[in-house]
Amino acid sequence: MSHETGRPRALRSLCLIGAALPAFPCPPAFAQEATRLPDVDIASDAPLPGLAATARDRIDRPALDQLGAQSSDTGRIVTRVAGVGAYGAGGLSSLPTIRGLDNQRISILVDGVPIDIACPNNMNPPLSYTDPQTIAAIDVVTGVSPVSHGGDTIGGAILVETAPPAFAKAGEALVRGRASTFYRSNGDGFGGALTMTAANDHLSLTYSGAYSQSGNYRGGGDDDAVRATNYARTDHSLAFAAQTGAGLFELRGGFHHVPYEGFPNQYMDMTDNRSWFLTGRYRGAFDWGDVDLTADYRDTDHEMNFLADKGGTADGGMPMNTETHSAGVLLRISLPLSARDTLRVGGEFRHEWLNDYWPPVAGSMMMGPDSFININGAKKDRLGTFLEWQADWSAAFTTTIGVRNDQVWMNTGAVRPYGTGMMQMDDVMAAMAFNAADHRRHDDNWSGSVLLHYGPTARLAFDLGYARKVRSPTIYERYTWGRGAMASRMIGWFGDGNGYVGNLALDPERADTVSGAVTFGSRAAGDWSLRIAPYYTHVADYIDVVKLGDLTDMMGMPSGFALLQFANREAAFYGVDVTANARLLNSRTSGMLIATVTGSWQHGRNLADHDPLYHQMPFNASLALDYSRGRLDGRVTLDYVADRTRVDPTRNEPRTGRYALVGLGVGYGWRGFRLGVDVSNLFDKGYASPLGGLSLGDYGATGLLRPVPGRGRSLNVELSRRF
Amino acid sequence: MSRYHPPPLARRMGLIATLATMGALAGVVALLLPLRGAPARAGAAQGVLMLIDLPAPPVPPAPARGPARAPSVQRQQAPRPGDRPSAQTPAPPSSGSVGRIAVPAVMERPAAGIMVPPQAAPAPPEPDPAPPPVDAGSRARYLERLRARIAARRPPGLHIPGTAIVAFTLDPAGRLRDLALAQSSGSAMLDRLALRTVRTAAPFPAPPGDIGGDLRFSIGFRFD
Repeated sequence: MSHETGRPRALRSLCLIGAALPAFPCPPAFAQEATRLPDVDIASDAPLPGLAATARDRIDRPALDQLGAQSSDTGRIVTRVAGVGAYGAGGLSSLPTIRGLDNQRISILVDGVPIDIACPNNMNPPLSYTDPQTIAAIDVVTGVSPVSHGGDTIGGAILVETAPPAFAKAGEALVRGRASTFYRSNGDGFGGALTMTAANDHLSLTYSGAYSQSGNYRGGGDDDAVRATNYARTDHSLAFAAQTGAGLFELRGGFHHVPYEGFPNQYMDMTDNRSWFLTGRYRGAFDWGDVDLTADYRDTDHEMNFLADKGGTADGGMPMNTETHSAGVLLRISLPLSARDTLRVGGEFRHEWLNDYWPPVAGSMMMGPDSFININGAKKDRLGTFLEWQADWSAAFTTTIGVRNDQVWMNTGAVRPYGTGMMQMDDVMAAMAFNAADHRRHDDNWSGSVLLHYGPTARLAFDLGYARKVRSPTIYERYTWGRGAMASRMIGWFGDGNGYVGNLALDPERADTVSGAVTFGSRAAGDWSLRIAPYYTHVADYIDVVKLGDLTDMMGMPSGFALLQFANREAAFYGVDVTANARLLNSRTSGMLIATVTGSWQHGRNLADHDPLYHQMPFNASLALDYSRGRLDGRVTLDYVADRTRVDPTRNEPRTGRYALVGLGVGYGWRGFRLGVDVSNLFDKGYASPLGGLSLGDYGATGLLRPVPGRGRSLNVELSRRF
Repeated sequence: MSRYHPPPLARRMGLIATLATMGALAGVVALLLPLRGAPARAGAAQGVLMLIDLPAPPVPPAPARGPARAPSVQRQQAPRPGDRPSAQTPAPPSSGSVGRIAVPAVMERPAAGIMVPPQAAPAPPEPDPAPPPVDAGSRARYLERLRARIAARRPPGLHIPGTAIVAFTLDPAGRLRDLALAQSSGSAMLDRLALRTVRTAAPFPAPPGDIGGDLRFSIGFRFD
């Protein structure tokens, strides 16, 4: 263990100086031959640190190209991964769920940054700010994710990357991009996108812009057009990156605008959503470790009212406005301590300010004379710190152990109903009770994760993870207060038509998850693989609902909807996800044929009520055959969803029937162009997604209540060009 | 008709906070840039000065070294899943290039005098011309173990392209004796990552007695 001393060091120092003086000859000892080992390739899409390659699923750009024009809804595209479902919502805003945990229980990051939801109906979730045409890759972690990947969540993670920086090789310049346009026959949807990068070896500028629009879509079979399913969206962003001796700097800013989006399973529609953001990121690699610093700010203005299908705004409608400012700083430091150990330490601070008010409507007895103040300048501050130790005991065995603490502070101001008339009495009493209470909340949440990865051979891998994670209630779960039938129905993201009331006394949810996976074969491209992943999650203080009463219609008769209040209950989820793929054909003459099978079974139970939980996916499976040969590629997909018979009686959840959908697609590539034509729901099957919610838009117009019909047959065409 | 207005000051607070953070970031840059100097280019002295005189890395106590050998045998037989080459399809970037030896066409000589040893013809299987009898298979296996150990600790990419070549020498016990940057990738950050990867992969398994030849190696890191 002695240090190098004496002659070798002197020789080295001599050479050090010698190198600075051009013609100085080096001693012969250093002129011997060195054996060159094979190169190590390092890809920029390498697995996230702390996670084995088998622990995440990746949807990359080629897969998104094949999906082409089928959907403008990123939340729906991620459902390809086993274990991932999505609550139906507007055509751009599906709310993903992973293994039964929905929405804000899972961590959704866009370019490394979380996006706060600024709507009492969660109409603008993080994935609605992304467009499938401009996404570079989506990583989905369905099992346990390490604490270094975020806090204040209890489930998996969805990580979307839109415009990673790209640099040219030394001395060169890089100009490349992709332009695309699409048309969808069902709903007359169309749109386009452009991504362009211009870079030299030190600077990079990337522009990303997309536009999508669609009218109402038609359901399959005998279903007609589904009301309130139209939308339009535009996104633009500019990302500037510079790599210097000190590190990699990125500055990204963008603007998002949705002029309208109908929500078939909500009472309201989105009539305007504008959001701009600025994100700065610094990444440095030093001899002692890596530094990753991200700072972000986002400003969102969101407006709701009625689109034409729900009556329009000629009589004033019911305007509802939400404003959010979010800011955050995240610092992650990674220290390789030895051949075996890496230490990751980090801290995060996030600030959210939210204001939600409903302006009065002229001439309305109920909606006036004042503004209804739903959330008065609520603040949620969260300070997270984590420590994680990754040990590579051998090439086959890795452990990642981490602990995390999140401090959450919340507060909000006083509220006010529309007025003090007789029709508003429920809200008047509720506002008085709310204002009399203390709104300050402080949660001290401790979380931990342990992940083991054992890969004895290249064709066998075991993953086992345990996590204890804690999530604080959201602003809307804690601070909404309206008890009137109308006010309560304005709250809720469940698509069920029920009314929801917040609860100041909510405690954070505490989840214990055990998740494992066995992978046979290799998930590297070109190999077969089978992955079986069982899991069990128990959530203490799970925020579900208790029923306060039934909502009655104007004549006092029960309407079929209920008034519910958020409350801490207890829940358990367990199930298994299976993913398999195999290459059936691979030759130059007959092409390549790959089969992919996924299956997912899950069981979610409310242990306090001894009832099933709301919106749990029944057994579902999919089979996809991908064929490619030369310039041609083709695809056949079969998706099956079983009957949903386990429903939540508290929310009057409807049953849905089983269905199978067939899709067909063909693509042709030529000189950078790609033309894709595909048909989704080939047999025009009429169906309703188990997580689609109730069709309230149709209910209001026709008086007939039914689950939201799924999309009927659609011919989708996409033309794209890489340059 | 009254209309509720949110306080105007609140609208600016978040933006001020983020601009302040950006300013702090800029301050960090201003402090770090003079330390790190200009971006590294092939030809800059910076590449030359990267020779690091290493203190011996913390070696685990002797008893632990024994069992550490056994897993390394496994490593040789069974490269980690991510390193498996796929012979038929174009290898995905993360699968490495086991079995394919990159021939450095022309070593870039940035400035005369840089301590770049002239590259031998790439040949782990090539018999050493020196007289002592060598087991070529043993040397090839040892080289594969070295490479696998380094590749197992490779960092994630940074979206910066470049190839950095690191030269290192081992002592007969497998500890790292010298470490130098033989060829810069053009980015000081990638160079640091490459050097750090080899340094944290040490100590390496001791070379077998019949390995022959010297213990100088070089390895390239191709960042995409």
